[in-house]
Amino acid sequence: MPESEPSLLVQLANPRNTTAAVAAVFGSVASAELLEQPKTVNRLLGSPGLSDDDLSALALFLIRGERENAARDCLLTHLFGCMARRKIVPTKLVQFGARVLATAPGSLLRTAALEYMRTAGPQNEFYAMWVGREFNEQNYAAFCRQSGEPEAPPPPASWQDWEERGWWRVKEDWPIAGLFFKLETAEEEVNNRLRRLKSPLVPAAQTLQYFLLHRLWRATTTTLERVSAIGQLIEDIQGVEGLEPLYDRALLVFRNHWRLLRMGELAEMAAEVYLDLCDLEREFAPDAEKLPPLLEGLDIDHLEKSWRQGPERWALLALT
Amino acid sequence: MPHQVRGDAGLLKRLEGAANRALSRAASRLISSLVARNREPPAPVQSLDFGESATFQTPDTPRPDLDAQPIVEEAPDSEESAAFQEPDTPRPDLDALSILKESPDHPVDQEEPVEDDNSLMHRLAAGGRLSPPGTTLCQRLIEENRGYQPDSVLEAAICEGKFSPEDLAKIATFLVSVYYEPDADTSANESMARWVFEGLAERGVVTQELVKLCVQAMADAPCVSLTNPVQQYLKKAGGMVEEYRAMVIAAFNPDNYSAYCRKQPAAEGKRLPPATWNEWEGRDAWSHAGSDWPLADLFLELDTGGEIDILLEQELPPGVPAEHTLQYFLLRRSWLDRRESPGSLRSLGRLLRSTAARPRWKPLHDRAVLVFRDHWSRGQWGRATAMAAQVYQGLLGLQPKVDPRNAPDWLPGMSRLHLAELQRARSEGPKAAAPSEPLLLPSNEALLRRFERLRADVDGQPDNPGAWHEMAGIYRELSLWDKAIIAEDLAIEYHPNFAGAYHGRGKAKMEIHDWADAVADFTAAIRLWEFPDGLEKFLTLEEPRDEYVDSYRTRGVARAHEGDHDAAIGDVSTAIRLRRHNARLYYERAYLEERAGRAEDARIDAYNAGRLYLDRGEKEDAAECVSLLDRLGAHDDADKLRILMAARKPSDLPE
Repeated sequence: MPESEPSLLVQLANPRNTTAAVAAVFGSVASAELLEQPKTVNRLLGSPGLSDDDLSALALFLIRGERENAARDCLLTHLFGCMARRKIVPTKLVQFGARVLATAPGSLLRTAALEYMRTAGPQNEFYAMWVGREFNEQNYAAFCRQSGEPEAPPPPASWQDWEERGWWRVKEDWPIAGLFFKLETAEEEVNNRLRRLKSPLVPAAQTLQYFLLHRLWRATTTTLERVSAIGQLIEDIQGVEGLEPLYDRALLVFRNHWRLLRMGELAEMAAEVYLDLCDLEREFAPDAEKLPPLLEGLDIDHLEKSWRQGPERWALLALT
Repeated sequence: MPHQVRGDAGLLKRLEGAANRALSRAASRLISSLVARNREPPAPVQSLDFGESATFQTPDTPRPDLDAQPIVEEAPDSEESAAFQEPDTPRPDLDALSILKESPDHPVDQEEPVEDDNSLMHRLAAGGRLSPPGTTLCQRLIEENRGYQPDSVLEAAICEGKFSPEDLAKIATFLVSVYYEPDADTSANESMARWVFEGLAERGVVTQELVKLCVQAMADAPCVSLTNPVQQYLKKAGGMVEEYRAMVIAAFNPDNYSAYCRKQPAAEGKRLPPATWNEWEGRDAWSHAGSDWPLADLFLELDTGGEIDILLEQELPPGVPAEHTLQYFLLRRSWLDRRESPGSLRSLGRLLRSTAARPRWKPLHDRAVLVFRDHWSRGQWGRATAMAAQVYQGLLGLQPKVDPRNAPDWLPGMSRLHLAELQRARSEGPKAAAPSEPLLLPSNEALLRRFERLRADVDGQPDNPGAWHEMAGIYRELSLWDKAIIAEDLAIEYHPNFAGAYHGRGKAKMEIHDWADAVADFTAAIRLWEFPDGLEKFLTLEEPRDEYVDSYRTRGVARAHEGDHDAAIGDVSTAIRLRRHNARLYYERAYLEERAGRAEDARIDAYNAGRLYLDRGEKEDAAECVSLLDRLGAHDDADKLRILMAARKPSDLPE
């Protein structure tokens, strides 16, 4: 007859798994059911005999196993609270917290992990790295899968309708996202993630890019890098089967951000600068039958309207 | 003052001897008194150089002819006259010190403190500027350090931390304000300033008055000695005063800057106007007057991007040279800093417009053109405008579904040229439309099963580069080029040195005619395969794998598409070196050589290709070589191949 696995309490009471202090405290508990009594657990974790190191050792022991275990989750939930209060941030626990927030369904453990990561997490030097790593395509897709297939929007009847109601239902309450967007590097990372579609096989509305576009949809500020990143995404997914909903939303968000850049005026200015450069070219090389390299993207209509070097030299534009 | 002497040499010699004796006696008296006071004696009298003026004024013995007309041009002054009249007897009223004073090599010994001492320590002590303990300390130092320079004493006390933080702040305030006095010696007290401000920064001592004074000093005082310590102090501790940021921003204004420029010495000569693009873009095309404005460092440290944009757009001050405007200064910084944003580009454009019309602002306008052009090109704004055109084209594509009656709103600033190209391409239709549903043969069913298995693998293990690469291979077989590229992207991401993935991605890019990126991918693959021993190992020791040879071959083809036939032929030649009996490679090289106008090389390769094909019994391919040879006019070689083709033993199968 195979031996059954020893209960969590028995394991905790073994000094080989945890520190002697932890073993002593938890060894005194008679039954596993006690762990489900919050007061008892809090009393145990608040024991004056447990140092910061003891709590860290206990946490590391508890997160070692990957399998679900109700008693372990219960104990970890309380442990997160206790360690948040005492600002104990071992790297492994921060990594575990980030993973819980990225993948675990709603639970007391996730709530406790979120609180722990918010209050104590940033004190760990690798906090940003772990949060950044767990904010990834696979985890978002897994998170979305927990709520079933995404729901398609109704067909639009106007451009406004297309903008306002053209979104598939997006899972916005992904807990790791809240932490990710508060990181110092978040802006740059968002651009990087937009530029590269990693999971072409998940439904378009469950891609990380879709999630990010939804967040950026109504932004009030933007940068050229952000606009370029969305443009890059559009180029990458144009015509890719199955990604039409993502393409559709990327067009919308690009359009909105483009308006924020107010590029019309800039393109006109670029045309004016080009006119000055043409004048300089004449100054430096009066006999040269060429024009300076065209400033790509200038407003060609504005350039034509303001052209002051005659039709012969206008014809040279085709050669630049 | 030297006197011009005319007279006989004997008289002069006697006068010189008498003077030396008299002075030696006076010097001996002085040394004795100093030794008695336990002081360091001055330099020996023997080394004194009395010069000509002294040597002739003390005659050895009185001479009757001296009563005659003196043979000097100017009458000596009264003291000299006295010394001259009683040469041999020491005079009680002739102090040796006063004689020594006349020597330029010997400073006057400060025996007694001067009543009206203008040193900083005296002024601090006398003015009641410090707290009572600080004032007492100053006075004690003055009394105890008689004979030393008072400012050195003060510096030592500061350095030893004898003053309280409050007094230190007061000393700093006084020190800075002293620099504004009309006759201030700004070269002195540099080390004292350094100690004071370092001490303040270390102790975190700031007062609003001091910070304000320092900011003002940085704005308009061109004193080098004070600049550095004060600047460092403000950088470290200035932020502790709430109004610091506002003070710096307020002081960073056109009036202060042009005032600073006016105070600068006109070191620059007249600059020649640039004659070439290189000169126009170079450092020498800029005026550097006022470029070291100390306040600017403090201002730019505040991360005031928005403020800079506002300043760039400000109205230009009348009566100020273009090079002395704050806008010119900011342009120069912007040119160096290489930062660009929509806001700054827009502000630059507005500055351009405001300076375009008036010749007096030409230097400013000229520099604004340069900076705008640099920012526009570097920021790849043109690419963004092309993207916008693409997006607009996409919105037009959505129009029938969304709102057939109303076109989407125009995207101002998008590239009209690019949009026109896109619309032309759309009206012409795709050149070779890939089938939306791949047509599968029965053998593809196995492929699909493999695909499903791989997909499951990838779902469960997304960081497995091998699985992604294999999946990309299937996508390529199914002609799904975009997906193949994405899958290889992932393989490369998880294994950046995966040569096979670069090769696979290059193959997929060839299919979508992305020649440049394909070349880059094949180059990366070749580099990885050849690391570390290069091509040679495959020519000697190691059998090259097919993908490696194909990387050279296909890179050559991509380069040929780009019009670089020489490079293309070079790549195919390398492939031939790696696979010496590959008929296809010879044929392809011949084809490329024909395109490059190298008919003789093409003839040789086509002939070799034909022979190799025939050797393998591939008559159809050999016939292509014959056609190529005919096209090249190499009919003899074509005929030889025809003979070889005919000479092959016919099939023994029944007809």
